Amino acid sequence: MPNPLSDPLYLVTPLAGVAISVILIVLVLRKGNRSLAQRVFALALLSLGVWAMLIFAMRASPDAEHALFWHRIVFPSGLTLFIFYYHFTSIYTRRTIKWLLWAGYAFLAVTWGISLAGLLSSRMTVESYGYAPHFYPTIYIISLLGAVFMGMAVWNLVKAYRGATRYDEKTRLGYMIFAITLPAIYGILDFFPELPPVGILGNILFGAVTAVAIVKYNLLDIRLILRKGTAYLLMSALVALPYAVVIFLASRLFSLPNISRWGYLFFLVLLALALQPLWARVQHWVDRWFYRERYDYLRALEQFTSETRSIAEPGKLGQAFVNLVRQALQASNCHLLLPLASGDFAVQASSRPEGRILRLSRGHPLMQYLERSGRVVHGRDMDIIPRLQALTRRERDSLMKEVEGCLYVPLMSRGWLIGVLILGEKLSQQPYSRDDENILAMIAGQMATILENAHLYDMEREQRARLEMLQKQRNEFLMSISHELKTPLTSLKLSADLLAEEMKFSVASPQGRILDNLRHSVSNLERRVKDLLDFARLQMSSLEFRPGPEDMRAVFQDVVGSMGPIVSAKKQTLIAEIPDSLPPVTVDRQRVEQILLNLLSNASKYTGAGGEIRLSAQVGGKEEMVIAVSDNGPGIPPGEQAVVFQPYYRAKKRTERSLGLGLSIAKSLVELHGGKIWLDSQPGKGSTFSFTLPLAQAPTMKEKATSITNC
Amino acid sequence: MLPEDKYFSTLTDDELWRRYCGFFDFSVDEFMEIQEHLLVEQIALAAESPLGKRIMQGNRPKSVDEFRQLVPLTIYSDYEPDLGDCWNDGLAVKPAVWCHSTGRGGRFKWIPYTADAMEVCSRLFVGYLILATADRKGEIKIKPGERVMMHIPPRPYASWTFCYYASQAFSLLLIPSLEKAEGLGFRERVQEGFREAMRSGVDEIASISSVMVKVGERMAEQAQGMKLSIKLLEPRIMMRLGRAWLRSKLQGRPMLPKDIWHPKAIITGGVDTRIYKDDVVRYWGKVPFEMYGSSEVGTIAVQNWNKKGLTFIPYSAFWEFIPEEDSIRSREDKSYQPRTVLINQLEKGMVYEVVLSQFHGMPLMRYRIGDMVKVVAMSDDEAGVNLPQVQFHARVGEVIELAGLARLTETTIWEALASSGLKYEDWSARKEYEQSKTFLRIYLELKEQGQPSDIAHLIDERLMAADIDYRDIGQYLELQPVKVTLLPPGTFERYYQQKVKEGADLAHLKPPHMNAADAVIQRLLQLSGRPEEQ
Repeated sequence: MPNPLSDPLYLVTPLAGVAISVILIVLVLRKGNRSLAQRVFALALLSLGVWAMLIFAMRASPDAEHALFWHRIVFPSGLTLFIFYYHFTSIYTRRTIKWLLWAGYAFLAVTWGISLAGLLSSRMTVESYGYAPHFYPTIYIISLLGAVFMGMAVWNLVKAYRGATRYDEKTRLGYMIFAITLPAIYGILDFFPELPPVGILGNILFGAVTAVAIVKYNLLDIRLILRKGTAYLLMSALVALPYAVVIFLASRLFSLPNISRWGYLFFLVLLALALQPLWARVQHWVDRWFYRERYDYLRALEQFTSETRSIAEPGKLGQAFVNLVRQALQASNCHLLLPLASGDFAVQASSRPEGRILRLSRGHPLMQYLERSGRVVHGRDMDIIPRLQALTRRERDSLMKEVEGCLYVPLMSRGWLIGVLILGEKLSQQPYSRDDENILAMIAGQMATILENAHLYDMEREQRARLEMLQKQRNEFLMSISHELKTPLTSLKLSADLLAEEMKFSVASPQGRILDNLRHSVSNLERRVKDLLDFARLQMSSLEFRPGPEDMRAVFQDVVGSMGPIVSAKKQTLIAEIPDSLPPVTVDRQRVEQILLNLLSNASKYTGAGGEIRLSAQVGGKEEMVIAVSDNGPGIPPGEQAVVFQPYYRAKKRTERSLGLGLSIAKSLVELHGGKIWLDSQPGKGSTFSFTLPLAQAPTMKEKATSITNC
Repeated sequence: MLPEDKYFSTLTDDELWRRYCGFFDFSVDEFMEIQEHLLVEQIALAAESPLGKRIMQGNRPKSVDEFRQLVPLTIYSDYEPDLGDCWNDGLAVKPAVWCHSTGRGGRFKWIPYTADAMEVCSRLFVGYLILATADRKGEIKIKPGERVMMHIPPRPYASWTFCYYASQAFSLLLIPSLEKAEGLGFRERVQEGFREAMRSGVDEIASISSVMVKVGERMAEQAQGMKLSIKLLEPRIMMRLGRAWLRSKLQGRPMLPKDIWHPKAIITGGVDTRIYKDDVVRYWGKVPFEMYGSSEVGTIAVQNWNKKGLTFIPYSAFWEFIPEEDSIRSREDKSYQPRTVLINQLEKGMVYEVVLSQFHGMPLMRYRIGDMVKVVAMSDDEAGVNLPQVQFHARVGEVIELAGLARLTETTIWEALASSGLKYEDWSARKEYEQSKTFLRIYLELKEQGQPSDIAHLIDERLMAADIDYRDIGQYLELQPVKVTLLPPGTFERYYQQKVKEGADLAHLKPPHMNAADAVIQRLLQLSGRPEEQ
């Protein structure tokens, strides 16, 4: 049997314990806030270090007699750790029972006395695992009493864990409870002589985990660590089982009494390759299991995205959002506060119908705090955050009782509070974790953007509806005024015609000029009123429109005829380039004539004396005819070209008065025919207005250009 | 578990500090926002009540500015028809309790307190214990079950009520218990408190500075000849006294209270805190923590952990301030409505009269409490407070104006007496006239021999050191406007005993320090037999 006392591990382990204890003491005193609790815990760590040092001294003893001496100090120093730890938990959890504490220290003093007097252990022997003390029964009584203090310490922690409402604190206490189980587990392992003595390892781990728990601010959820540990154990089992099966089968099938190390290596490589696809799969399962809450969030988020894709109303979006959050976080209830026109916030979506009564002003302390901090507020924060202590009992009741709020999440957009999400407590009764808050903050950020966009869209839609209403009112007014003007205008025109016919004034005479002027003005006015009426009817889609197959050559001839006097008066040339045969088009002839007259008169108007106006037509493609009206006038500046078809547009350098509706009406009429109209213009060279009309049938005749000149 | 106790088992120290003392971190704007919010809530409540409607003259202000424009400043007589008879029906919220002031102005002022207001008072009370015991920001030294010695008058005095409600919200071992204290006179209460504390020890002592100093003085005087009575023959008391004796001997001085008790804090209120601060430290080993309050509202302002300037409490009431000149003018011309400023308009070095409007459905609105405060700083860098720091200046009307140059407050005279080194029992000062000249007459009972002229000269010197305006009187006008009447030993005690026999209330057991009425002075002089005058 090898001598256990010469095993380096046997000696090094307690020394490692001493070193780690010193590091932990420094860590606790330097990094912590040096509260009384931390100082007492540092004492517990010190006693742990002393205990480890004494163990080393005992193990390094040359003989059993020396070892026995050290053991008599080892035992009470271990108990010192117990008492200090109990003291620490009392302060940390604010559950100090003074008499028990005093009793603990008194008990410690007595134990030191008894142990030093040699009333705990009788002798020391050397066993397979090292020095083994032999105890008197008193040690069991004292150990039991020491265990009572550790039990009280655990009780303190468990009570505090149950009472903790803050996630961080709960996690911290979870670590401490976990840590205290380690020396117990390792202590039990010490009872198995075939295993190396690991009790000291358990104590070191206990000290380290507790120290980290009280010093570190953000701790990973202890439950996650336990879950992960369990999963890795399962994974190990999954790998080990096929390995064992392969080895077993190999040795059976091939009758291999001893597999060589190369054989093991071969099997391992083979197994690794075979398990590779399985590993990825298992990893995926494990991840899904570890992060199942996040999977829930993602699934809920996906569902929300698909559900809300077609929703543009903030109210409906809000309801979808409330459903998402409630489902993702497993909350008992959820309400969404959105701003009203008055600026106040009110519940506009809720998982409970009765939750719709809450209304908070923007000046409400909670809303102010949420807007300024942008942080999630827990229900318990109402008792802590000084600003929220300005809430009156009534306000507090309405938040805590009426909507059963547990978590208040601000929805911020560009630094402004645009909504607040209120969550009730989790169905599991657990506090919301930091992960929950992070996910919630992410969802809230996205939701704020979506809500803001929906709100803007809503505003835009309202604005559009308002503008449409205004336009409708304006068109109705235009129609009404046009009708009112048309009746006396008709009468005026008839009277002027009648007067001209009856009186037969010479055109050269003053009366004749006045009468001619009168008729000309009335005619102008009539045209403008007609334009106004047409414009209004087009806007309201009430224009009379009767399309039918028409021969455009006849249309062109009529229009050219009508324009003759006008272009002649300005000494302009109107050239019509019309093919001999043109396919028929499906149009309202009267409206097409109106388009052409508008464009031609416009061209004449803006072209100087002696200018040239050209009317052309050709079949473009299989389904349309392209008609163009060109002039060699001054052209239209590039900056104005985009707006020439807008109503009330008038050229900046105009010489003629007009309402600016001609081109707009022409455009509307072309579009009414299913065609399109456009402009090509070069300043100083002239302009070309082109438009298309649909053919009644495909062109069959060869196009042949002819000229009809009118001077 | 009591409501506030549960926070001590669930919150961290940092969270506890934020809950109870976090208001010190407010900026002036945040302070104002909270004030405005609570005021708007209060207006909504008050506007529905008959008394509120009457006080607000039927208006329903929607903002602070409107409130200040539409609601007139008030004094107690405006409320007396309703509050004087403890009439509940006129109030916005049914009160949880009625309590009254000490009646210092000659009559009791009955004030109803709502449950919500008491809840706030109780929470603030815990905060004061934390602040009083802390030596740095964030330090929590208290826990449920603190042993607090309080020298408070019986119910229905407001201070008793506050303590009662605080003890219902937070576990406190009051010494002596409220029930026991009720049947005792003031002196007996103090004696009983210290007797019990001898047995149980004490964590905090809330009292008047002068009482604390007097206890210290007596103990120092009697320490040499202390006799063990049968009552002291109790192991705990013997142990305490033994330790104290040893401690004092090790330091080579007489036994002092700080050798016997080790309170975590001494909490005091009243104008004498500043004057006796050093003596309290000497006898009790702790810098006193000052609270400034009133029966009408509870606490008005408190010190921070560093025990320096007073900071107004945002949750107690809505605070307005009348500048000193306006306050004086309004007293001279009753028709004059003085202007008020808000906390964000205070200026350093200026004196203001405090105006308060209660919250939580309580009735007082734009109420002139009758106290003057002086702004001593606009922030406290050491404590990290960015709110105006004030100190109590004087009660309105308790200022003695001399030669139109100096305005002496009770504090100034007290400071002068304390710094003179004179050993005195008590005093009373007022302005008197002689051949159309005004002067300050101090009626003083000394514990030692002295010549009135010498003492007057000494006090004059100390006043010149204490008050820069007073110095001008001497320098420019070549006057010494102090005269002293020395009262024989026992005069003030006889006055006290006579008043106790007459059944006088607490506020009238002793002559007032400032501007006592002729009748009071006459009685003092009669009791003195043969006063020595300068």
